[in-house]
Amino acid sequence: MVQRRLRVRLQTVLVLSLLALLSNGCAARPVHPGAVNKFDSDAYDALLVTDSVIQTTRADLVNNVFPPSIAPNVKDSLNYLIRAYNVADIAYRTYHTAALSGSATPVQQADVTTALNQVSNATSTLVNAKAGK
Amino acid sequence: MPLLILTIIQAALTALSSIKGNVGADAALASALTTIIQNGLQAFQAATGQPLDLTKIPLEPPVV
Repeated sequence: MVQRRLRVRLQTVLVLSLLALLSNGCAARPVHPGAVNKFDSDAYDALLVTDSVIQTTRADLVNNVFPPSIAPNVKDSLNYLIRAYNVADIAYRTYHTAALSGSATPVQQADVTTALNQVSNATSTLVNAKAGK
Repeated sequence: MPLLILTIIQAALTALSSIKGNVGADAALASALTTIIQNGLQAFQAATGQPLDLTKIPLEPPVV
């Protein structure tokens, strides 16, 4: 009973800290020099953070940080995230190159948005796998 | 400031990880998750205000 309460508290602390970080990050997010516009800059930030998540999780898998019971799910979820990230990366580069020359189309921007939504879903899947759900 | 908060949480989770049983295992997992968030935040903060650099978002190979 005590362990269950502590587990719930641990999860609550993590969720609250994540929410605090996200709200803080959104409040102060300047446009990167070299970005064409805020969308371009924000998409780059999303890919940057996702790449960090991928690299850290990859290292954790190599170092056997996860219990054997959930490691296979974490690996599958990480590969799912990597596929989504790579699709978003290519879509972003296509949009960014076109935007630099002033020829980006709404379809290219929509492709980036759709791909980043997939990255977000894949990240949620990865977090759930790590939590052993 | 967020990084400091995460560092404090990380220290607490590291201490809890030493507890035997489910609490220790859960704390160890939470600690790993916190490290991932920390690294993501650090990457975000390090890039804030910096010029856009596409070499920092390379295509990633799958895990085998």
